[in-house]
Amino acid sequence: MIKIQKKVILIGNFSVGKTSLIKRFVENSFSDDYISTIGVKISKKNVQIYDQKATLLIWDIEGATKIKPINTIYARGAHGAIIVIDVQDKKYPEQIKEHIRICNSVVKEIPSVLVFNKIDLEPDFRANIEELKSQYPQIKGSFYTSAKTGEEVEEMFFKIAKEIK
Amino acid sequence: MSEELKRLKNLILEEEINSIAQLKKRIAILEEESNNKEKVIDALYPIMGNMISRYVGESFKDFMYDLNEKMKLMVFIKAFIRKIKAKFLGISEIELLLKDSLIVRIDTIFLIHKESGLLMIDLYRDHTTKIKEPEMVASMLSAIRSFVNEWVAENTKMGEVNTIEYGNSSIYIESAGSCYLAVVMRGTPEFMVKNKISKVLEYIIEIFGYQIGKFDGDITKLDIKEISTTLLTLFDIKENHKKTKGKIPFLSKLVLFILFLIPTFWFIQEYRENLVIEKKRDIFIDNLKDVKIYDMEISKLKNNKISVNGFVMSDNDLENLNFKLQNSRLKIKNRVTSIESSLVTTQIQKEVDKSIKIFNKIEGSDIEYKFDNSLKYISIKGIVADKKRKNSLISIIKNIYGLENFNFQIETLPIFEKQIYFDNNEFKIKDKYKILLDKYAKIMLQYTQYYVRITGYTNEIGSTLVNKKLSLNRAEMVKEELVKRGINRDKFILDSVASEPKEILILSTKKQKELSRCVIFSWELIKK
Repeated sequence: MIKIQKKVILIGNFSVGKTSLIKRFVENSFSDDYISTIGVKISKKNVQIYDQKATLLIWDIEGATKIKPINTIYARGAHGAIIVIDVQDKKYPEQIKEHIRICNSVVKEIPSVLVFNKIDLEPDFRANIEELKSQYPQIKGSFYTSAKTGEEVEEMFFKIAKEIK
Repeated sequence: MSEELKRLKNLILEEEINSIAQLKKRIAILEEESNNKEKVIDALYPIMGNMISRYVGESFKDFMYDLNEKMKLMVFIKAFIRKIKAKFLGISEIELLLKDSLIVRIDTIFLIHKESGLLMIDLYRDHTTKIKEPEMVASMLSAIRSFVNEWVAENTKMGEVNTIEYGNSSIYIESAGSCYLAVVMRGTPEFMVKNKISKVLEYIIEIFGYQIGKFDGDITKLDIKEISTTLLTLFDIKENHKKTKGKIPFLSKLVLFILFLIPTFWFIQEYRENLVIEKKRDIFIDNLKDVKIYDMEISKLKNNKISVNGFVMSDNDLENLNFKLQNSRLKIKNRVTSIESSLVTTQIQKEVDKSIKIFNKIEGSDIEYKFDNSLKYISIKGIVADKKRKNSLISIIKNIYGLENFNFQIETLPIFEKQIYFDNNEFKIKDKYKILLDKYAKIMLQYTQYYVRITGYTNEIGSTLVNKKLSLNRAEMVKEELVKRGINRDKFILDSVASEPKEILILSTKKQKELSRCVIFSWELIKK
């Protein structure tokens, strides 16, 4: 067993591509069936940051739908958060604020990274997050990823691992 | 077992006896095919339902053996208790019997951080019980636990999830404030196992609670070694659990039961006896009426008897009381005494004491007595100077009022009957007196508390002075002879008389002259 473990939550609206993102990255995960039952899917990723190994336990929390809000209980005790946004979502600043608000209601301002996913669909997309960063210092960075191509996925996970160490 | 008990057993357990008999038959057939799990399940399903598939695990043979052992132990009381338990819990008795048969064995222990779901410690019985991806399992378990607690328990107010059962195993969760233990075991945990797990977790929280509370994912900040050592004790549970199912605990239970019965019976017996005594006491007091008992004390004797202590003022009252008790049929031992008798007793003792004291003042008397009040008995032992005094003593004691039984052991001092005679103007002792001197020496050695007076005499012929000296010489000679025979020199009082002894005055003149030349012995009754 690796000496250091960290709990990372992966949050984002329904169908932003969280699960595909995980699949690009992790070595192991439970069957997808679980997520529909209890609303969370657990994955594991071993990372090496500088000279230290760490295990990230990634809690992929089922996104909110119109009839069911996100189950905040799964965010308890998390050390870091990955907030996933669909690049096609034009109301992303509100979405980000909402996710951070939910996070902060459960855990105390944990290091977070913003992930703009499906960049392959809008390669030119660039988000204006400077205002958000100054408003929420817990935002440590932003990535433009593609589960399809694997672009920046690895980097994003290393960034969050470094931030929460 | 008596016929009544057998009938009662058959009445209560009719249904169970039938199903157990059926089960036995099927097991007998199945034992031949015990490797074929599917067949076993199918065969037993009609009787036990889906319970059977849960229990038919890898160690089917162990299970069969254990189940058979249980059946042998189907004693009346045990079955009866199981039946009540089954009714109470709303499950079949067969299921309970199966639960009894299943050996709980702890395979895996996880200590998990409650909030984050991160695994702090994972321990395994051996390599076969190792779980892949323990960190993920811990997280998933935490997620499930959170889910159940949040969505189910909150709505039903049922508290936390405790046991997750799967196949023939279960995960038992014991939760503390900052962490929880997930214990994977074969079988379903019962009270003893749960209790042990809870105790272990309590200990861990007490000692390591602070560092666990601060856990941030860095295991190196925990005293892993110490916590693990504590947790490892849980793997011993299987053996402990098994022991409680063996024959020895049954005997211990029996011994405990008997130990419990003894004081209970004693208490009931005591209570009943006290009731009897209370009743007797009331009847007794009612019967008393005109007899007043002072300092009355009623105490318990064996066989529901009681004794009454105290005193009444007169012998009449005592007689009255005895009469009443004899006619009352109450088994009461009367220990009441009359003061009147006591007074008389004191009087008798005083009288005896006075008489003996007076007698002991008489020369030569040395008397002791023993007095027994209850028997009105006196024993007198000792020595008096002579028979006259002895008779006088006996007569005085016998005349004391109230004494009824006597024992006299009174001796009198022997008399020195013979004298030693001397030739005219001589003080040499003749040889023929040696035997007499031996005898007298023997007597003196027997009564060493007394002195002996030796008085020398002469006839009245010649000067008084000469005669006086002669008679003294005669006494001295006798004394020396006795000293030679072992008598202390100090035990003699010598006396000399220059004339004949008075006792011979009546004799003839010639004879008188002969007999007056003598030495006479007498007791000097002064005590040492």
